[in-house]
Amino acid sequence: MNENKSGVSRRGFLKKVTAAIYGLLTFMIGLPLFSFFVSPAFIKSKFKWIEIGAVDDFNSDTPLEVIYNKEIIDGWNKRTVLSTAWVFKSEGKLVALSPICTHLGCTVSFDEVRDSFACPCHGGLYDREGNVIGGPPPKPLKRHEIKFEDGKFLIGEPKDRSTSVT
Amino acid sequence: MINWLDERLNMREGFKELLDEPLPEGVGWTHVFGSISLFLFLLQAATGIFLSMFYAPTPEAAHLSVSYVQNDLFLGAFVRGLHHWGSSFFVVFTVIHLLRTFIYSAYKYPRELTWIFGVILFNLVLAFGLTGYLLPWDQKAYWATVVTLNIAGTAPILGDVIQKILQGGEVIGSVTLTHFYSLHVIVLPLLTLGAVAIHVFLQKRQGIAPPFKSPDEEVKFKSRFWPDQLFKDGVAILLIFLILSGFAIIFGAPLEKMADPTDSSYVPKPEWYFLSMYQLQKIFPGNLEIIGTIIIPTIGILALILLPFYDKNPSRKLKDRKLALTLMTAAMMTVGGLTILGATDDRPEESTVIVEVQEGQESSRLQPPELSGRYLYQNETCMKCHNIGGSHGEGEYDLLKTSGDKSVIWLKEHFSNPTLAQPEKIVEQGSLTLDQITDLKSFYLRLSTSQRDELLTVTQEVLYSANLYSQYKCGACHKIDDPEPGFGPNLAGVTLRHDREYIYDHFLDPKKFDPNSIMPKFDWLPKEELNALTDFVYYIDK
Repeated sequence: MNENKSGVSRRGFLKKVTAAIYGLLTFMIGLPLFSFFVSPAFIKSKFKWIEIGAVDDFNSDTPLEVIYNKEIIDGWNKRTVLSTAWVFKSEGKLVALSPICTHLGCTVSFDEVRDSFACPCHGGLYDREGNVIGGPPPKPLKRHEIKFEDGKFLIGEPKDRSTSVT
Repeated sequence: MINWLDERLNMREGFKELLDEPLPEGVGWTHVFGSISLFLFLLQAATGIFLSMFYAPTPEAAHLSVSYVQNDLFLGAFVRGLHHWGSSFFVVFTVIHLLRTFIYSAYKYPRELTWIFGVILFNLVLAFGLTGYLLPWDQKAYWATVVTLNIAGTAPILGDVIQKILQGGEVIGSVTLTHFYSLHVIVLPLLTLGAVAIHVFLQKRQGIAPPFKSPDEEVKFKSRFWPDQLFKDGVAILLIFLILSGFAIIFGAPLEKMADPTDSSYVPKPEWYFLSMYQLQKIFPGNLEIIGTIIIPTIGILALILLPFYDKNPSRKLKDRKLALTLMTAAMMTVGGLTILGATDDRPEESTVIVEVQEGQESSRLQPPELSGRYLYQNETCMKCHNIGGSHGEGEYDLLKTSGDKSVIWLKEHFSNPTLAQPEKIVEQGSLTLDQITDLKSFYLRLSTSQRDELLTVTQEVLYSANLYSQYKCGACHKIDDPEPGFGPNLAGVTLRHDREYIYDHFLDPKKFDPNSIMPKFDWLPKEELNALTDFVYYIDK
């Protein structure tokens, strides 16, 4: 009887099975916990058109700061927050610029004297069309999708502009 | 990597020794429960950490955030289910582990310390349960905690202070929740980690107690911790985890509606592992309550902790330990019996009985307890919080809005301790007699009937005399409409049988009119009270 040899291999097998059991347990517990933890990152809020006024209200060529209510879902809270968009006429067409600086997300504001948008954080500078003219921002300001219904002016999601329009 | 570490720390040999621990003959599947308990602790820690990432410990947000986890997050209901049922499993397996240790005599010399830390850990597990189930801030959470904190309040001398410290002030609310949250996620885990470390260190240092062997007997070592015992532990843990997952998926974690301190119809019951304690509270009434709330539980815990010191029997064989085993069986059966009683004792049924009684009352005239109850309503502190349809009393809680949906038991508890139902309000502790409580209850029940208006328009004189009638317990002997004979004559029709002078004089010396009368003399009452009682006899007989 080669007890020694089979004893060793039996023991080795037991070790492997045991390790596998604990590995399986770690996996069975770890995976659901991990997916639970990261899941909010994949919850997408529903896109909604927001009415910000009558089309006739917006005739200025100078960017006008429009403050509107936006419903957001913040975890277990549903809240209404104030948001802003800069609306003006560019070559006869209405444009709604998002004031979120494309560098690190601070809020830019329009400087009438210099006719440009300035970011207070790191000195980003955009012209009135939202194109970068100075500082660190990598891309032009986003523009909201817009539509008109019964004389009302609605804005949608802010979209990237791949190329600068000048 | 391991070699790199070992070159610097030189710990490989130590670990090897730990893993290679030789196990005495007879150790095996019966010894998996400690590992299962440790596994459950780690699982609770893991699920708890992730749940805490989505939890807000404020009365406004707690329930919302838990419901967000439950309904909006991927696998949220499963993770909550694991944590919820994990606590029950934790209790079950620490108890089995404790009983196994008891049966195998493993608490005896030299392992007394391991046992003591084990009992401490068991209490920490219960403390986790207690602090944990306030956190969802649903009805059960809230009301179970109200009761728990009031139990703490029954402790002698410092009870009141302890209760206020635990709840963080006069009321159960924001600070209570943050206190319990911190206890549950910081204090108790740290204490438990420390106690587990000591418990496991002691076990590793002393080795597993050879089953049923006396210290002087020769012990054979047949297997090793790694992989023999770890394999068995692993299989058992895997099995338990699968069953636990089944519970989490099939039953899930309950989430009742958000805590409502004004809801008085709720019948709170604690988690099953506290049902024996819950039932114990019901056995001891009034001023003896401390026996059920503090004394018996404390004796129970001390009896467990000190077990190795008063059980001097050195034998580890079952046949030599009949007394110990009998006592433990009796203790377990008591706890089990109380748990079953607690689980099956249904209070809500009583409230359905009341409704029938109320309907029966509709046609009869107003009864003295109801009138006396209204007098008490006006003259005790009820009106500070209550009003009746806006016209009687300045409080904000309209009795007409809730009339009829409270059980008698609830009413009695509310009258004897208003804070219990309204923990957010500071109410003067009631000092009502049992008779007064009964009167208030009768008054409240009559409010829900069509005779409400009649009850609310009775003159103050009648109310005053009805209260005297109740105070001197006239109703104990005299009935009015009830056909059952009382000890005294039925008062219906008494004014037809006798004139006013007779009735008044009868109070002074009943025996003068009827030598067999057992009615006591009321000649010590002031004249105006005697007149009022005589008037009242006329009122109820009209």
